[in-house]
Amino acid sequence: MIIAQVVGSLWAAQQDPGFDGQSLKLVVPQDARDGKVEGNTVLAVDLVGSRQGDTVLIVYEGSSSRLCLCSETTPTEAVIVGIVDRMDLVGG
Amino acid sequence: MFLGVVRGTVVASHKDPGLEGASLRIVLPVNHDRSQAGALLVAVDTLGSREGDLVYLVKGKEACIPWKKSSLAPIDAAIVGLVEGMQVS
Repeated sequence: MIIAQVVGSLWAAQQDPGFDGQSLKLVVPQDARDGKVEGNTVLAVDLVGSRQGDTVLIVYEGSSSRLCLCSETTPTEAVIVGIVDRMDLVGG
Repeated sequence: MFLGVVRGTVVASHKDPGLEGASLRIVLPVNHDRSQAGALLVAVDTLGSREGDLVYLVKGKEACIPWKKSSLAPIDAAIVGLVEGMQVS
């Protein structure tokens, strides 16, 4: 899993039917040590109702992501599975 | 998944049978601010995207899912949505 910050949301003119009823969020990976947001934008299916600015936990690996969705037909490798309240990092 | 802008098309008349009938697009990966996020790549398109469209793609094994003709097609990137709008902070 990775830690990322939600920077926005997106809606589609047309999409694969596997995404029907799913919410899509734009996220950017976040460094657990200093909270710095850096890296390329990732688009993830949101299962937890995250909001812009939230720090979230993302499963970013194909088959595990589809396990969270209980779906073999949603073509995604990225799913938001948690909203981070707090992180404690020792010696990071 | 990630965002991309469709920049062109690939035509390959001699290809793996699993790709028969597939539309191949050349896509430039971009970030939410439209800055470049990587090198050009080729993706299968089942949605009918056009040059200049902002789309989103999936990479890896999941890229085979939209391609209904064969579950074992040699596909590692697919366009899975055409973006209509974004709300970004």
